[in-house]
Amino acid sequence: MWRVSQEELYRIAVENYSDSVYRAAAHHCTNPIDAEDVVQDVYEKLLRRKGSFSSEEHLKAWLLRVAINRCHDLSRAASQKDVPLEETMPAPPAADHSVLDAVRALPEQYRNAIYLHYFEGYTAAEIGRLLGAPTNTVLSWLHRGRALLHTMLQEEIEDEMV
Amino acid sequence: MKWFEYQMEVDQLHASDALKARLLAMQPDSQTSRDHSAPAQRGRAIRFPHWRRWAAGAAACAAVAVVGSQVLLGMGPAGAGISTMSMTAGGAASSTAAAYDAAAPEAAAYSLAENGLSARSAAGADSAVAGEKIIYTARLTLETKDYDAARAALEQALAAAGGWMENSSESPYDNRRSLSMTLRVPADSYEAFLAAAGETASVVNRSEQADDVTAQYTDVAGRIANLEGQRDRLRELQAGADTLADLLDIEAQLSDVQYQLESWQGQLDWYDDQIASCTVTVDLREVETYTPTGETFLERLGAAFAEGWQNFVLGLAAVAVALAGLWPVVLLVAAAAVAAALVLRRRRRR
Repeated sequence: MWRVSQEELYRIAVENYSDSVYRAAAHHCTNPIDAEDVVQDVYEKLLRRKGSFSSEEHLKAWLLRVAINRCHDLSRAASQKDVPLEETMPAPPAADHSVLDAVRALPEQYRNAIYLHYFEGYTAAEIGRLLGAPTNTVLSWLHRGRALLHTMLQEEIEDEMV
Repeated sequence: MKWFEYQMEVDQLHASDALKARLLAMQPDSQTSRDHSAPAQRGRAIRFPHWRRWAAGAAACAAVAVVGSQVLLGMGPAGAGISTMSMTAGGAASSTAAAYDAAAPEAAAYSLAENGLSARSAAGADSAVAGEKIIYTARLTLETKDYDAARAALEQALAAAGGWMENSSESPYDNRRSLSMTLRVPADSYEAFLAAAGETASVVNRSEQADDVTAQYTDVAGRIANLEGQRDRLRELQAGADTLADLLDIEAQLSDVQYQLESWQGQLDWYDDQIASCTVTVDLREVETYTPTGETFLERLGAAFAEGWQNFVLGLAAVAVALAGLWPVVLLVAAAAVAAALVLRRRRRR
């Protein structure tokens, strides 16, 4: 077990993983202010959490999952309040053909899977455990996400991190 | 385009230092309350699958269904047995009470009414023989857990009563042997034998019947007396016959009378035999649990539960025996199923 005081835990979480949480939020939110709000919410939850973590990896996975859940909640709230751009529909890519923008335009499940796999480096099984989905489902998300990206970017996507 | 472009872009995102400072400044239980609008409903947030709850619920339903069906099955035959027993017990009680009365004219009237025979004058003035003629028949259905002991006790009771066995058939079946015997018991020890037989095992059914054949008996006896008178007279005539023609005539009549006499005598003998030795049919069954003969609801309920369990176990045993009998087929089917499962798994893993 990972024995560390609450304050130490929190400090490590902020210094090491706030960037990861921010990136996860940035994949979802359209502007940085909303992303920062999400990050703050995540860390508030960390402060309120009473349990302990088995390792730093466990802490990171927990932070990411909370961030993804928070984004999901926000999208539901947003869809109920007004009629913005539909988050689940792939929006047309930005003019600079940025891969990041294309990924952000993906549907939520595909986007999460691609980010966690190709940036954070989790395997499909780890992503499945993190998101609460079977491994095969995660693999199908990755597969379909890549297909959508290919369509959107109309370029060959080499999958080097499989 | 490679994935590293994506990674580089993401690398450029990071939490601002101001944000980190804010995060570090946050203390437990002293959050700067922001004006969030909490979502009205929780969306499909990421949760563990609820299959465990579903599986537990399904298992509970299955268990309840199995127990319920066993109770119903167990109550079915038990319920039928109880109703049959109560009906026959009522019928047997009245006929037993009638048959076991002392040899009195009133008893004859009772048994006549019970068995639906034609009424007969209680005085018995037409009777050419003393006393009354009654044929007793009984049928006992017994259940026992200790088959050998019950059977030995029955034979012992029979010997003690001075009776004999007319015929018996026994069938062994797995653990459930059954025996059917037709016994002849002298009329004197009839009651005692029935009581003793009832002690050897659990009585499921006891029915008795008493046929009063006095009227027929006296009829037959009268005919015989009549024929004997004819025979005597014919013999006298035979002695004093003059001509051969008369002699032959008399001889012919004599032989005819003799034939009838023998026939009726045979019938009388049959009556005598039946009256002297009562017929008792005993069916002995070996069981695991007794058919409920208890009076109270709880007794019957408990016995029904036990029988239900027994039925279930026997059913499983029968299935196991049947499968064992078909073991080559079972082996082939199992091998085919394993092969199919392996093939399917390989396809999925592709």
